[in-house]
Amino acid sequence: MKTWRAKLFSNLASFFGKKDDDLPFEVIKAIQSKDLGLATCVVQGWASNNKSERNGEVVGKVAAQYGWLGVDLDKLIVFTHYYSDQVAIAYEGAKKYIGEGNKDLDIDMLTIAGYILYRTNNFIPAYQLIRRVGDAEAEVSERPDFLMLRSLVCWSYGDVERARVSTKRMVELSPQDQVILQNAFTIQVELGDEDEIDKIRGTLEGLGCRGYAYGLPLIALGEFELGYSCIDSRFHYTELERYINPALLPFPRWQGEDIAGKTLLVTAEQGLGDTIQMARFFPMLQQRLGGRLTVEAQREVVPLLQENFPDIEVVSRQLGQVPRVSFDLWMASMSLPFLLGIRPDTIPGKAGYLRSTPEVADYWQKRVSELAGIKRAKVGVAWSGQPNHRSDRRRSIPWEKFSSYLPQSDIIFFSLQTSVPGILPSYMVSVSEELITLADTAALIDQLDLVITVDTSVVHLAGALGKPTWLLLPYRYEWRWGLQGKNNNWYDSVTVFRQESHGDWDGLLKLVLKHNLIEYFGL
Amino acid sequence: MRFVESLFSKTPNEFATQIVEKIARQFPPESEKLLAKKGAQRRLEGVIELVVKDLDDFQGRYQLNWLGKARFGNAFRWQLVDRGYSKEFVEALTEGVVRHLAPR
Repeated sequence: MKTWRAKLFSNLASFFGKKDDDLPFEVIKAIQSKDLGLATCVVQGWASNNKSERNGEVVGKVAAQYGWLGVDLDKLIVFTHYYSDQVAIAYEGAKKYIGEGNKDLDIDMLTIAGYILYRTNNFIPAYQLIRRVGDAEAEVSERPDFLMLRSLVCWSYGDVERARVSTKRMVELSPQDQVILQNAFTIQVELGDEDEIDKIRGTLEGLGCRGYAYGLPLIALGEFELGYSCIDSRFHYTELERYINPALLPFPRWQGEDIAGKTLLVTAEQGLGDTIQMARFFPMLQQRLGGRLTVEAQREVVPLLQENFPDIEVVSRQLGQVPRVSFDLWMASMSLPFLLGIRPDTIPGKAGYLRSTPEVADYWQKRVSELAGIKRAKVGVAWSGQPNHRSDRRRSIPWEKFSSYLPQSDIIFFSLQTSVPGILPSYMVSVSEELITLADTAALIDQLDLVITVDTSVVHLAGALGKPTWLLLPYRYEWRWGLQGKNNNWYDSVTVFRQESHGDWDGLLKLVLKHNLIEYFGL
Repeated sequence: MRFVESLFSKTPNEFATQIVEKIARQFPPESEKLLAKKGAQRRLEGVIELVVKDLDDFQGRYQLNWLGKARFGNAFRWQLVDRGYSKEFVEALTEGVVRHLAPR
């Protein structure tokens, strides 16, 4: 009896067309057309604004009812999952068509899978995947979506020439597409092709572009105000939730209006280095507010910030959770330069704005003294960053290469990284296991004579402490350090050393470690 | 003249709060998982050394009686628990501070 009643009610539900109620009319019409391109386009628009893990299932069910089947049905479902941010499920669906055993690679599925790998910071698998194109090269050379993927992946991987070719071709095919152009602009600024930079810039300005990806290279080119105003459009970015606490999005966000007397919550975004870099603005912000300022930041940096900003409430950030503090408005830390109207000549704290915690300093004074022995000079070094960072392959130096240039002299080197090789040379020590919080790293740096580092949080910490620091950068790299010269806008104590050409670490290391370092200490 | 802590003073509780905050700043609860490594153990020892110094300073100034020591130990224990440290960690540190404050 129960069974036939359940079946009846289920049939009644379908009789009333309930199966279609989850989808808007235009999506259903697009599915009815059985045109994969049209359906994908409409689904993208709908799913991007209605992200639900059910979307793929619902679209698949409706599409099947309208006669979709086989690879087109699978593709529609995969694309729906992708645009609904259900990337893991999308990848599983795409994997069937791009396995090693597949003789005929499906380029649509390969492209989606490649974007998923790139977005989830799996750069090496992404690079290996796009290299499998082989016989389909003629086909992919006409596809801006694949070319953009190849451009981004190859750039992250350090395959400069493939990135260059793909970037140029994608712009040829889509000369008015802002997404294509912004990504091309970023890569071309770092490649250094001035003609392409000017051409793309002109087109983007003509289109009135003010996107996030346009802003970062503008800052690298010295266009601070315009660049930061573009960066402030990142709140519409699909990957925002990876970098900014998504739990805050429903709350009122400060956009520069007068907020005297109100309580403002600043949420740290992106990496530890970014948090440290932006912390310099906290006192200025508090003064402007006249009300209460609370900061939520990565757990590792909280003790250091609490010590240095005792008038500001600093709490640990839990991504996905609203902090247990009261606030009227919130903002994300990378908006500080824009909302405070900062120019390069008004950036505060260039001489340093952090100090190490006294209670931690004692420990490290004894420890460094114990480890340094009678060596004349103590130098902190960091040669690689987090491997899941998009630019890590470019900014990091392989240990074997870096260590081969370290001079054996009256210098003791302290590793400032958390991840170190098992065996270190006798003139290097690692205390990574004792670096419990960033306050420890700060206190350790305080005891050193010099820091030499690639572009990681170490340069920001050392610069914020006012410690003499040498920054080793790839050729034309990263928005915050400009594109040439030894100076920078942020830290007076940081000297920038740059590769002379793409990928040339040997030339740079020989100059800095074999020559400059010896000269610096008069050895 | 040394102060003898009265039966109803809040000082042991306040001191327990300060000590636990100091521990948590330098060795937060999530750091416990690092204790398998010698370096992290050494760092914790450094934190404990500071705690012992503070205990000695405090005892030298306030001379806690038996009730004060008990109140301190209790407040210390529960503050560690509230911060999220494991049972083993809490018991080990609490026993350590209580023993240190016991008459010799």
